[in-house]
Amino acid sequence: MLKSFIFLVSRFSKDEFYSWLGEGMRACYPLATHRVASTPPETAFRGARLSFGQRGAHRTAVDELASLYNNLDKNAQSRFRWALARLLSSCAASPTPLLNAALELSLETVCSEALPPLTEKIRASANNPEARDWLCLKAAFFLDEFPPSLSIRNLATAILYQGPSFPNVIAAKLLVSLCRSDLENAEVHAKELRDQLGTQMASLGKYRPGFLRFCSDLQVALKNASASTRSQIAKDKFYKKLVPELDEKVRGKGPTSDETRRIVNEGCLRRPTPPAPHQPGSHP
Amino acid sequence: MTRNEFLDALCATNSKLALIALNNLCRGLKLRLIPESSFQQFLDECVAILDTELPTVDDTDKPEALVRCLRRFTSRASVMRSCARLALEACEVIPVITVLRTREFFYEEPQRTHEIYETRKGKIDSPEELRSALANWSSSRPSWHFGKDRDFFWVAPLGDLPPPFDQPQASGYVDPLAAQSHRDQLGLSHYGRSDGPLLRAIISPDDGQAALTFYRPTAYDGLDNPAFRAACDDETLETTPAHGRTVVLSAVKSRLQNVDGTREWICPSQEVPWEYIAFDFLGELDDSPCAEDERFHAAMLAVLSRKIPCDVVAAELGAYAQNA
Repeated sequence: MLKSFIFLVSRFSKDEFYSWLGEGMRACYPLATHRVASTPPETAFRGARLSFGQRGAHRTAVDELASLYNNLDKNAQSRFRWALARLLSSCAASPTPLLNAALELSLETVCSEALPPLTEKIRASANNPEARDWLCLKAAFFLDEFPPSLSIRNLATAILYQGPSFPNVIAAKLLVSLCRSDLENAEVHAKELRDQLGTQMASLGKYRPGFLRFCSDLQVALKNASASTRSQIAKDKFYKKLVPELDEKVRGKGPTSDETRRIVNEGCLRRPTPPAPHQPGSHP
Repeated sequence: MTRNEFLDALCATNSKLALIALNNLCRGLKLRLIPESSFQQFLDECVAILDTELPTVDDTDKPEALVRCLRRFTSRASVMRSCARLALEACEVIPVITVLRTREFFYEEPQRTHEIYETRKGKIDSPEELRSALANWSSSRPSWHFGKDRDFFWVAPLGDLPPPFDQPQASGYVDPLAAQSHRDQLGLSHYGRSDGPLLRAIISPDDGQAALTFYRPTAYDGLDNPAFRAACDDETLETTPAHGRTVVLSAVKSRLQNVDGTREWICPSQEVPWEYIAFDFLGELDDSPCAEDERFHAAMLAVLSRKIPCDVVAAELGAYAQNA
């Protein structure tokens, strides 16, 4: 990437960043049904002709922008993230290539400013199950890769409580994330998630590394919980069966898929009342 | 800036990457694999860009900007550039392979809902995981779209690979050297450890291949690949075949006389039904890409200079640039 180009971009104000990013991303990812970049990034982004597209044609606009971001100073990075979050807000809550690229870029740049608009989109898509499923699947990567925060907790609770059911495959990530970011209500969340976690566990049982990773992540997430929360979770039939497996893991054993299914089948599956939605500033 | 001024300035940078690209362009012109008119148009486009961009570039950045301007023409759509191409009208009916990264494979998965669902970049660490991902994929879509990001993709005949890589792999078995061998034979100089596990797709010679159009790669397609050679050493105007040939990376590094690899073609982006594709898991590479290695650039330049010495390239290209 040319130093002149990095220097040019690093002087952008927030609004200039937004305009530059939005213009380029919209040229790369028009509203279409697939994610082919209709314009290559080196042409789509102003001033990037000699900087993007140099490391092989397999590089996408997201790759190039993430690389540019890593070359910016802290202040410019902050303006870049602000512009990216604004771009996300301006996208419709539907699985378009542009929104997909904006979310991928947010993940690559660990853009915490993107969390509120993403949460808002998940809330807004309550009546569109297809879009909501897609958004929840994307959101799971944010839960997995971002540090615990109020924004992460709001995202996770929006997935769990606001709108129709979410895809089963993200249940483990959702539980771990909620245990990390909202330990006080871990017990309620754990009960709420039992059904879908059980379904996912049945699949994960066939894939031992994934199952063991989940056990390990959950163990770490619960480590800081109060004794009462831990004991409440352990009282639950489903988790009571699951938690001892953590010790098995330490000794190098894991449950077989039959064992996992048994654990799942034995879980009692009544749904509790969800806790009140979190207000800004109410982080525990 | 004139075409010749651009060429002179480029040579003055002493960039090995630029000299490799220029050497290939020169060889392509001599063998009439690219017409003079298209070369002149190519130079005009470079000059137009530089006339616009150079004033905004710092003096210290200018040599690099020149090289970048040359290499950026490895266009995603270069297959369809106006230059003439040798299309294979009656292609041999043989299985062809192409190599891709698991990341590319997963990027397209509509919902990434297969049971692994672990990491964003996709995770295929074994043949079993590949099978699982494929089962999920094939249930949601009728075909795989090759070259979707770039508008084209490269293929080589499976039969040209040395044993045992010339056969579909046995189920569940992964040769520890498979990734290395494929990269070496196919001249994939830009693949390295950070790319994660590689896959290969074998496209069967049945209907799946009938939809593909095969072109001989030209210097334009290899401008960003330091392991590209426009033509083998023994090619002449009379014996130019309708296929390219890869260079064997290890042979270049060892500066062997013969660096010929497998035949290769370039195909426009194409959807191929699943039933005509077999995916094999190749495993990971354990080193950095030689595309970024200065010593490799020097070795490759030495290979190319056997046909056209570096000091002749500028003068010869200058003549092609001038002719009306």
